[in-house]
Amino acid sequence: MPIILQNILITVFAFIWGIDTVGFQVVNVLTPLVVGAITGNWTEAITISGTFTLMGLGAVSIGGASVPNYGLAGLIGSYIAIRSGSGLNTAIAIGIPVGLLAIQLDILVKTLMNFVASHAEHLADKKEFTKMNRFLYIGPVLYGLAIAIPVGIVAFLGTAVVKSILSVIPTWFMNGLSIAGAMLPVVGIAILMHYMPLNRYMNYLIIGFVAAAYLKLPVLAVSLLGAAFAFKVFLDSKKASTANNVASQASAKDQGDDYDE
Amino acid sequence: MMSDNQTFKLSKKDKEKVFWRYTIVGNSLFNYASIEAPSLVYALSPALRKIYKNDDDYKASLKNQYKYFNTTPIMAESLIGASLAMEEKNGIKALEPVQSLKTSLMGPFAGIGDSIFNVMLNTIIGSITGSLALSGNLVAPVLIGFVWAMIMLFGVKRPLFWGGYNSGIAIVDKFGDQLSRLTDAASVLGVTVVGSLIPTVIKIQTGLTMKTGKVSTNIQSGMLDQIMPALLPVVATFIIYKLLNNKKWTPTKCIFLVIVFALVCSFFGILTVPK
Repeated sequence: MPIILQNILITVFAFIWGIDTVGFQVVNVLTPLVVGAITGNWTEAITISGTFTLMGLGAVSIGGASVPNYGLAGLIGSYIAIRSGSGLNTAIAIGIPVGLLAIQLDILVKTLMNFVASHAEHLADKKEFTKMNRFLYIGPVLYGLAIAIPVGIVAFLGTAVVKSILSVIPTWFMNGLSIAGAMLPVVGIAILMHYMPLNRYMNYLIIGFVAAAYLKLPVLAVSLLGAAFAFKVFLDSKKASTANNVASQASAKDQGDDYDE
Repeated sequence: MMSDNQTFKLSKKDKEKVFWRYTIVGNSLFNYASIEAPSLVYALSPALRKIYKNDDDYKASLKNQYKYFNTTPIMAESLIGASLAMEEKNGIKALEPVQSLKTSLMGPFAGIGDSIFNVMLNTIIGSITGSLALSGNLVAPVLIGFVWAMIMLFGVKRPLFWGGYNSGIAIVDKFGDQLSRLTDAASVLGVTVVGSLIPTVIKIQTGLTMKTGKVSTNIQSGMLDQIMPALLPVVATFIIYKLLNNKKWTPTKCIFLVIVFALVCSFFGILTVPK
């Protein structure tokens, strides 16, 4: 297979792979097979990606944290190592920097996605529903590009370019994006708070905060605590509504919700 | 009794479509502000369109799904199933219960899902396939990986979706007009969880140090943490919460504000990347 065709195929596969790893998670297990098929060397493809699988154990993204992309490192590392006829060390030397570059791109995509999400919501506001559904496809496309672009660059231009790109972008800018990424859930949580009956249940917000911030309780423990409070509130409201029914049928209407928006 | 005539019964195919749309799109609309919410909108929108003939109701339902939602995608299947069932049954009246259910369960579900699926099972499967590959076995690693992916798809994700759908119906059937009381109680759980999200999910750290004479104090660990843990996240939450009271401050503007603020603070070294 001519090298140019191999490069195109691996870049296209990387695009699909990028979408698959954040969603369907079926194509990614076939990565060594595909790299083997493109390069013609199954043995190397499978052993090198096995190394990267072990390397990445435990490095999983939880709650949206960006971790080095070892899967991507295995994909591009094994491809370049096989193509250049060199072994595992080349794979690691190339794979790891790309896996690290992928963190930055991942943060960038997640940041850009804020605007995709809010524009889609804006389209829903304007009742342009078909347009909204079509617009949402930008999400997977961006996640695909975040993988396909570094793979394409390395496949077509080589690793020197990856290193120079990393050195051109100022550190404060990359750090700034990471800081913003860690801060941004504040907007989502504040919006959520606007939809909750905080006026009545402010006390439970404080209890939840104290449990997590001071007592360092894990989320499951906080939830059980919350469930216990919820159970009490439920029983109390049952008593209240039965009492109301006995007193007068009309006053039952006062039970209506008054969530503050 | 509630009149059911304005709601629409979805076919099995409609519901399957929601499952596949969500399973395939997964986290590929992940964003920092509303996390997985747009994925839910994408997955549910065709089915919701069938439930709500009226554009205003449809819009209200979509807007409800656009709110912050963050859990393990595998566990999200059940909450999507449940909210679909509730909206199919009760229409626009189900929006508040749906929101409470999602908010109160996403935290515990993420706690369970992240530790079981992301950490435990993925680590076990990864270590098995990885070491088999290194020992020169060429067939088994990919085969095990593929069989595992299929088990996750048809043995975990799909049953979770349908289980959620069936219990969503059960919740509505069982509690009927008591649902508003149940919702109110569930919102207590939701508020408690949101309180715990502020110090754990939002991370803001300053790198500034203060010099008094020859002693330099790290402001983060030496001052702010002494006053109160997660003081900066609390202040930020309060500011954004108050800003959102003002109609001019849309969520998008708030996101812009946070990004610009972070870049400026990073440039001057006021804030550091939290660990």
